[in-house]
Amino acid sequence: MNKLALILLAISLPLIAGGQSGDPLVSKCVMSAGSNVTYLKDFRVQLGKASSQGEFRYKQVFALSKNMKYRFTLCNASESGGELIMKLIDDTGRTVLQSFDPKTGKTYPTVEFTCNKTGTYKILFDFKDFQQGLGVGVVSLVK
Amino acid sequence: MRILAFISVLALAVIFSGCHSSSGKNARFVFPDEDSVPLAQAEQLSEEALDDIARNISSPVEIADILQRMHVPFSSGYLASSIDASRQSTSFDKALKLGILGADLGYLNMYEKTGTSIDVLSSIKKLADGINVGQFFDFETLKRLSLNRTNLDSLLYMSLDSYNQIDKFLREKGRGQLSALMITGVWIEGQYLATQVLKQFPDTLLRNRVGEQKVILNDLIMLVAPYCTLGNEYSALCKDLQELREKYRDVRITYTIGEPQMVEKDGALVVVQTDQSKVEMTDEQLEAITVTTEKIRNRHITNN
Repeated sequence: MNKLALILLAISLPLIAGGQSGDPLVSKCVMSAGSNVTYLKDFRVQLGKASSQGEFRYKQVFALSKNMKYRFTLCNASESGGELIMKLIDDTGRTVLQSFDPKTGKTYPTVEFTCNKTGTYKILFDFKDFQQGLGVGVVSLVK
Repeated sequence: MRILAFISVLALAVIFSGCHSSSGKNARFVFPDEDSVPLAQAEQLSEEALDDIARNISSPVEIADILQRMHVPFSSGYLASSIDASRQSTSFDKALKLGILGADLGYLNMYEKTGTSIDVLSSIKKLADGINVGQFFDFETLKRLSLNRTNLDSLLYMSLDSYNQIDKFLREKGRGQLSALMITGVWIEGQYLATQVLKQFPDTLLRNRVGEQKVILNDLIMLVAPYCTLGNEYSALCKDLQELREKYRDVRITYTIGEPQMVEKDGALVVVQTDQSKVEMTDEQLEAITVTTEKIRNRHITNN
């Protein structure tokens, strides 16, 4: 996105909140998705602290296409107990990517994915260490 | 006292009728009976199963992105210009055409044809109002953004976000059949656009994209399946999709498995999938898919 468009988007989003989501966290996350991307979808994730640590608790299904490059941008509300993390699982149940390194604990707020297999994928979200939190995941198409 | 109570209830109903966050009771007051799906039909495919079906089937933005990469020039001939929003009488027609025009809007916006997109936006607004989801389209702002081409990113965001919100809202309010129709409309128009372009501009990437729609079409059929018995319009649409599936029957898609490659770059994780899919589709199969897609799409846009 060029700078002018970003500024106008930042100004206009609160004004257009009447009929729209009006969620400042979504707006902020869309804007932080970076340049040369086209917004496709956002997921607003709000979870309490998990009683047990296991499967990611927020699941959505998303069709991704071969030869497309997608960017996943993960944002957190300041009061979140942990950072928003995600996994992408293909239709055979294989984990294609995860936004964190389970060995080092490092998390990535941005993940770029070059898709080579058209199909439906599960996008799973949770908060690091299964903490409570509020976050937004934005999927964009890299131009 | 009863009259006063009645007026109060009526006033509250009117107040809440335009409200996005209206409760289930208010929603029942606003929406016509045909919008409600009988429980038995809805249960044919559980909510969990429906949740396993992607809602972003064939984003028009992605198709337009491929066309731009192919340097295919914009053509208004691909648009569903014959749709007259004010002549759509049933919720079925309104929802399906809302999807078709949504795909056209994505195509127009990606090609920066924002002048034309204002006309499409007007039709979209009418259709959305007709199924009580007009509140998700801030028409004036969208129009303003359309007139100012420097705001293209905002326009694309707002347009797509409006559709995403409508889909979510319809599902939450037990009107999943309208959401399914909208998604079907987007897919049919995207498929039409891709197959029509292929006729003039043969391209391997786009051809494979059309072939791979075999996978997506199966999902779409599952999405629509719970509503096939809702009436003649629904059953005809289900038959259309089955007919198209038949044309795809001998298209072969094979996969080879690979391990994803991951690197860190500028603080971001960059992942390249090394799985590969291969589409085998003959010219005859493509021709049959193109003809059937065109027939289905044209019948829906001319049946005003």
